[in-house]
Amino acid sequence: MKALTIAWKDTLIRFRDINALLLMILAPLVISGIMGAAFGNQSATPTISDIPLIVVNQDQGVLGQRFIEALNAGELADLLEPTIMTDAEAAKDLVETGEVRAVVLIPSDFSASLETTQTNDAGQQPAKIMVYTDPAARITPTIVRSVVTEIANVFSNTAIASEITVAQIVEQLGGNNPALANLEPALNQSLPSLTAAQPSAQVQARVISSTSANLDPIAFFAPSMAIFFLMFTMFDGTRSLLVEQINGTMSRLKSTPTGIGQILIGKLLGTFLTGSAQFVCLVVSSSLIFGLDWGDSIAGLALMLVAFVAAATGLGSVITAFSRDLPQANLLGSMITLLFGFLGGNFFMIENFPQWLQILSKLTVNRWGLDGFSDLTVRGLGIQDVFLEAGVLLGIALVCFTLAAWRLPRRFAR
Amino acid sequence: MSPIVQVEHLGKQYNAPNGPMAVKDVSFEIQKGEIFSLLGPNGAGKTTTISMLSCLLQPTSGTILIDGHSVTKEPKQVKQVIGVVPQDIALYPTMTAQENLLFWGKMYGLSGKHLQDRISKVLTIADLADRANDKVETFSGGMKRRINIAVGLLHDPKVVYFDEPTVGIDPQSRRRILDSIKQLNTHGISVLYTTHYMEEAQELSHKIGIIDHGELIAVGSQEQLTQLVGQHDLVQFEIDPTAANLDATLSALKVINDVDQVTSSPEENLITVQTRNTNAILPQLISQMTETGTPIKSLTIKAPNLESVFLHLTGRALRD
Repeated sequence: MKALTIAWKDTLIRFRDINALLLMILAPLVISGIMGAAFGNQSATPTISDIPLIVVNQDQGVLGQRFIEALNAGELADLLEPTIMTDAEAAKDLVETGEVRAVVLIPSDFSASLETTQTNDAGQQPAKIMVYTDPAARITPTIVRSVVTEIANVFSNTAIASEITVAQIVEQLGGNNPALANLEPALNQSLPSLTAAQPSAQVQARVISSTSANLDPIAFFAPSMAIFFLMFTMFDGTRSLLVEQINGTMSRLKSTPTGIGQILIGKLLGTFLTGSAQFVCLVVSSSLIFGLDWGDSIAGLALMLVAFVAAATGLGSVITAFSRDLPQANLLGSMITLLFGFLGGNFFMIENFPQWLQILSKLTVNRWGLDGFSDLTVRGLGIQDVFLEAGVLLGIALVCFTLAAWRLPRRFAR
Repeated sequence: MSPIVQVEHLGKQYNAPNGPMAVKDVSFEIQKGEIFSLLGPNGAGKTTTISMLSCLLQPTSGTILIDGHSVTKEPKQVKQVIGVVPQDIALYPTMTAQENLLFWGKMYGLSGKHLQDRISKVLTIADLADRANDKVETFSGGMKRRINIAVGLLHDPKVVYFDEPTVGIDPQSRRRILDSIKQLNTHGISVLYTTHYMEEAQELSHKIGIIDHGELIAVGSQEQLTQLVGQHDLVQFEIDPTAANLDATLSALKVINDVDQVTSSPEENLITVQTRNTNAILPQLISQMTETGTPIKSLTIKAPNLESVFLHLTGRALRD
């Protein structure tokens, strides 16, 4: 009960501090708005090319090969960098390890299905082209899925395919996405050349892990900035233990019949409450101001919020526990916040990082937080799809709190 | 009357075994309803002693019993009966006085109507009832001190520790604080008061412990302590800050017959002479000072007091 009183006191103090509120709420919203506006301008943004993907062609006929040729046609060759493999499982493993963005699996009955459909056999199941994507990546799998879907449509119906416009594809992907600047010329050149050669047939291209794509830059930057500034709050909250020590209120707390365990739990709980309230404020504000859709899964959002705030609080408590004094804790906290922000992909799309840096970024709570929130907001996934990210974050929290539970009482008890 | 505080052979060594001894073999008792002052200069060990009595520091040696409870073995029981008023303003400045009191009251385990009643009572004691809903950061230094004291009284403790509560405040606030401590004492609350202001110790205390370099060098009532000095007066000269040769003046004064001690406080432009024969040597003192080029601005003769006692026991002025 006393821990709750301490936690509430800290939350109250934090939310009364105008400077803190500027950093907690206003700064992330303003920066998200600025970044969103800046990256919404395609001409000013970098382009994506040479997206690594693997094509596994199990087709017994010739149309599978045609499909591969379509992926390599014209300027699509600049956009995509397909590699042919025969072992589907090995290819999927490469996606799981993040070495390639996507695997396109052409089934063994691809040609047969097209030919059968051409003879109007109503009982024949349509061929399914499977696309496996890296859940950690956000932009490039969506591009691959769209390209594959459109090519599959071309195979399925020449009449429809001949009317496909790049505008449609770009629209599917979210018109403001800065990463798509070079997609338009590539598809403009490639799609018309395909339409003449293909048989007219009904093919259902099915994309695994496909979701509605929402690539508004705000959808990336709002969670990113929320995570980045939440880290400041979390570190600042745990540092308040040292501030209380300097101001004499820690000694006074210890002179009351309140155990050191209750004091420490109260302080950490206060940081957790403050961070949670900050995130809820940011979600509501960004929805109202930017019209940002945070996804349909309230439970998923809540799980990610709890997991991320817990991990950041844990990290902050470790910094506080092992810092020599307040200046050192301030320095370490700021350094880690900035380092994790950049490395964790709060400012840049992670898929633009080199492979080794992408792996390194998984050492940060920011990366796991961003992946989880992106799953919910950008991809519209559900709670079951963020179990991995939430689990990792809760694991980090557990390790950090264990270390802090060992060190903090020794530091503040006497 | 049984003691509310019993301290026996208390010692504290920081960074043992090679660190400095902040408190050495200190023993004293505070009876119920008594005001006991620990008087000593800065760095004498007063705050270390009060920290050990508040269960904030573990003693290196010795025992402390508060209302019969050991601070090392029964800290929770001890904390229920002590009220601590720290030297720092240990409050949350962005919270109101009322919110601060509510928070600290809950930390002492109070709740509901009892807590509200206690808050009203201590606000009245602090004479701040009309400012209850103002943020502490808007208060003057003296008002903050009074709320700081009010927090220590919330749970109606049997003994209250005041650690230099008048440092850095205006005379009016100091007067209010001293009066409120005396008022508390009339209600039977025992007080441990630390200070380096002799006048405060003299005004408040039933008993005084003089502490220096971690050692309790004398304990007793004011009368008992001044008897240690005998009939030694203190002759205090306020001198011109431009005095050219202070060392020569001090040397010349020390060799005069019946002069026991001579100390100087250059920051306050004071020279203090302790003597048992003031009337006889006063002309010599004045002429020596004049001859050695130290102009006198004023002269005060003080009967034996705690400052004389400190000077007598340590050879130094209390303010050194």
